[in-house]
Amino acid sequence: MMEINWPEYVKGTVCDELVAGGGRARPGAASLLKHLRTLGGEELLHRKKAAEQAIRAMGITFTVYSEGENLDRLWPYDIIPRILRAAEWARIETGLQQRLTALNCFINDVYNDQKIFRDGVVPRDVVMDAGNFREQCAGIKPLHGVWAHICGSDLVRDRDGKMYVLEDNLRVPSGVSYMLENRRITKRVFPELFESYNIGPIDEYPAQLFDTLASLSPRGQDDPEIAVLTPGIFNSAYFEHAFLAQQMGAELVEGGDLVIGADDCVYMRTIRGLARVDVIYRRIDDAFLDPEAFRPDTMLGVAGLMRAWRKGKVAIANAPGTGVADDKVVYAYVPAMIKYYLDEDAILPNVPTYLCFDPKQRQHVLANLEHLVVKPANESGGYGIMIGPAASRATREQFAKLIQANPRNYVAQPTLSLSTTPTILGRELVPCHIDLRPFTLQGAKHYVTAGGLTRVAMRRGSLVVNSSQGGGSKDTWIVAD
Amino acid sequence: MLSRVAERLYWLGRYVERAENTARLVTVNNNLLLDLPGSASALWELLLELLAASQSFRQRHAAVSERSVIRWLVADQQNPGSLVSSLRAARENARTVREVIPSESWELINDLYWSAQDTADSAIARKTRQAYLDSILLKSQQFAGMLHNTMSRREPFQFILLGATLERADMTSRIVDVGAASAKQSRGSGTVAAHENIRWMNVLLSLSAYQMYRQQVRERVNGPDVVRFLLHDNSFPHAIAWCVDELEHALASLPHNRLALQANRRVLQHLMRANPAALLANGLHEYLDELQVELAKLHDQVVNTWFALRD
Repeated sequence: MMEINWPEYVKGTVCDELVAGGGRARPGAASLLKHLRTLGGEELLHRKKAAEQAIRAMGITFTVYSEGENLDRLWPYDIIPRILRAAEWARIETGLQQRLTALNCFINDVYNDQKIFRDGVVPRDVVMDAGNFREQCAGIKPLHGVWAHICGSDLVRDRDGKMYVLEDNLRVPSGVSYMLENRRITKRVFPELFESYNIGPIDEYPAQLFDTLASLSPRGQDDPEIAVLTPGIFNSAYFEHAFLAQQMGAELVEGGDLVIGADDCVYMRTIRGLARVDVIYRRIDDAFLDPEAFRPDTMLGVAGLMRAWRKGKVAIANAPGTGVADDKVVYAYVPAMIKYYLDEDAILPNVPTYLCFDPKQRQHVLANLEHLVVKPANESGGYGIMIGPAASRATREQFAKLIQANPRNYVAQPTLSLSTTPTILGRELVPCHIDLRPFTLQGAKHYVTAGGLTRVAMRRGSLVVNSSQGGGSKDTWIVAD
Repeated sequence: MLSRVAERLYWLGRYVERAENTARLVTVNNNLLLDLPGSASALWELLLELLAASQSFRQRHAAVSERSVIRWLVADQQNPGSLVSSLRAARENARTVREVIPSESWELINDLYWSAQDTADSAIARKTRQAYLDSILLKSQQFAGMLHNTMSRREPFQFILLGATLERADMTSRIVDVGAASAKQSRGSGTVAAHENIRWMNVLLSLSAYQMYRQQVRERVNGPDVVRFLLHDNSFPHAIAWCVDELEHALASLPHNRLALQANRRVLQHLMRANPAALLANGLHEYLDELQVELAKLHDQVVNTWFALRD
């Protein structure tokens, strides 16, 4: 029997999104908590089961590498939604737009005038040594001055109740399809709640993405040909690639479907012959885009694609080279960029970040490893991270060596507590740690999803929310006060 | 439409149709088994033969038994031609083109694969076998019906149709072949002619053709009429002549279709040459083999025209 006892529940956590001290509901969460209590534990478990069946029937999957034949796994989803108040969200939304605007100014500057280096705001070496700077992109000025058209920022709430930006994913951020599917499932599971709440809709995302991509078309015509470039069915996010192509009415293409013509335009091979492509929403990394420009052994890309892009014959989103700003060292300078390019103060704070290439900061990091989270500057998916308080002495020593050997490649941050939210684990209601990944678009205009993908660490006490490492997800509601 | 997508749609059509017809073939045998218990093992041999699964089966099994053959043809994922493997391939193809097919039809094929796989054991026991096969038949028809009613008659639909219809023509020819071979068997063993008719009746039933046949042919069920009906009738959807008509329509709506249309007309010519009564006396199996070769040539032409990547 699963018990629903909010005063008991909240004793297990420092900062919960739905439940405050003594088991009271936080603003906006009252009807939800009351409803969950009314339904009772057994009914909740029934609905959980119904959700799992829906996910299977709808074929919502993600792919895990190296599992032999069984390639796609059912999407892990927890039925209890996470709630944010509209007033708080409005501020976050503005903060995300501000951030992406500044990041795009930065990338455009790095590949063109490099004023920010000359003015001493960001050290030149920090950027040029990062391994993400692509000299093939120097001197290019994409339409609207925008390089990162789609950004997925990770937000976390610390014990002080404040939302921090943990990182900005500017390369090929994924998860938005799961945000949309989570909402579809929640509507099936809790239809009654959509009557009592005024929940911000998210279904318009594919249309907004389409408009953003269309605004990049080099031919500027009304009906541009847009293609989603996927590495193929074995990629962990293939479901999402297919989903977005379907929702936008765009072509889903693989590298082998594309060819560069003698006129340097990009064409796809169709049953009627070759057809020109105007905009490519690419879901493969820079390194695999074009064997002529990057890795010669790539089977995923298209030979000559960079040539076509540089000549302005095709738009690529996100633009090649965008990864230069998706680096945990560069991240530390984002508040400074906002000041420098926009002359504004950052609305959303960064998590304090120690840069190991700086001798003084490095000393501090090495002396406090047991309190800090150490991250490689240039990895995603939660790989290669050390969480100090949870790490063994041997692991800490290993990381101390790694940091000393390659200080530029490491940053450290205080261990955040990460807020929790009620989650069903087995037959128990447990406060599980969460983060939030909203998606921000920038083309001719800006757009931010209402909420985003809430990722949840599906093990008691765990702080790891990545789906590739056993994390799950929840529907996220922005509710009017 | 992308060539690659066209190709996957075509195979989606083929694999669903193949799974459905495998269920039909096993059904024929299943019924014969109940009517004519004496001839069981010969029937299973025949089935393996006709699904071109005989050699791969023998590599893994010492003896032919009802259980082992059924498992191989229905449930075994090591057999690329098994019913579950076909559905798996259909689902994989659907998964890679789910942006172009109606999402409900993706959900249906997804469910069809999972339920076929999860309950595959129930195909092994005689008690539950027919219910299993019936549910596969029902769901695959549901899938076809859904596509027919919710997909625009544009190129994506035509490629699914092309794959499904070609596969169906091929499978009907194999089912006729099973029927003829088992009818011959019954003659060889000296049983009365009535048994031969039972076998032909089962062939009709397995293709859901019995009623339509009766409305068309007033004679009592007999070999030459059944073969004529399944080869030459152009109003019954499992008859090969009807399939050729359907292929003609699908091909006509596609670009650069000249060679493929020619190949289809050669299938038709071959079809019209058939004299069922004479063939039943002698040479039906060889004739059907040749028909299958003509269908394979049409398939090759489809591949060369629309799928082979040309700059």
